[in-house]
Amino acid sequence: MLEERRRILNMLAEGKISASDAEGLLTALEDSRSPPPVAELVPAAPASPKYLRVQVEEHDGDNSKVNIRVPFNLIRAGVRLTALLPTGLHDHINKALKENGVDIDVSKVKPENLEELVDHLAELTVNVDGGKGEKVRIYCE
Amino acid sequence: MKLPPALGRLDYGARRFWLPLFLLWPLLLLLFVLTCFAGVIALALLPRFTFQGMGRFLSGLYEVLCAARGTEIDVGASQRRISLTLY
Repeated sequence: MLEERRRILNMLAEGKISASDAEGLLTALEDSRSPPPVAELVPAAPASPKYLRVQVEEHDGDNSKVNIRVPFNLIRAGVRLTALLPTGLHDHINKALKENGVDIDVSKVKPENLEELVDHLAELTVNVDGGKGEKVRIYCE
Repeated sequence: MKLPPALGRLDYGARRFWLPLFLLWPLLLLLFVLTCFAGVIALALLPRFTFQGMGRFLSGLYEVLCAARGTEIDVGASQRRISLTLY
C-alpha cells in the first residue's frame, strides 16, 4: 500500500500526472483497501451472566445472613415450564402472587422477554438499605 | 447430555456432608416410567389428555431439574450456619 502511494507521489513530483489525478488515484487506492475484519468493527460483547446472586444481611444483634445463588438456566427453564401451564392455572398463580405483594401477570412472562431482561441485568446491581440495618443486594455474576 | 445434579454439599456449622444425589437418578427413571404408565390410563379416561402435552411438561420439568446445578443456598446466623450447594 505504501509502495503504491509513493509511486503516485513520485509521478506527481515528476509532473507525469496532475494534482487532481493524484488525488483521484489516492482516493481509489484508499477505497480498494480491504475492509477490516468484523471482529475489529464489533466491540466484544460482555460475557453473559450465569448466576443471579441475592444477599440479605440483617444486623439485629444476631447478624443473620442469607446468600442465594440461582443459575440463570434455572430461571429460564422455570419460565419455559410456566409457559406450558394451562391458562386457568395462571389466574390462580397471579392471585397468589398478588396476595404476597408481587403484582405481575405470569402469562405475559415469555422466555424471549427473559433473555432481554438477562442481557440488561448484566450490569445492574440493586442495593436496598432498610431502616433497621438490613441490607439487600441483588446482582449478576 | 444434560443431567440432574449429581452431588450436593451440605454444610451445617463446622460439619460438611457430601450427598450422592446420583443415587436418586434410578428413582427418577422409575418415576418417569410410572408417569408414562399413568399417562396411558389418562389417555383412555380423559378426552382432552395428550401424550404430546405430557411429554412437553415432563421434559420441561427435567430441564428445571438439570438447571438446578450450581444453585447455592446459604443461611446463617451468628452461631448457626447451613449451606446447600448442588453440583
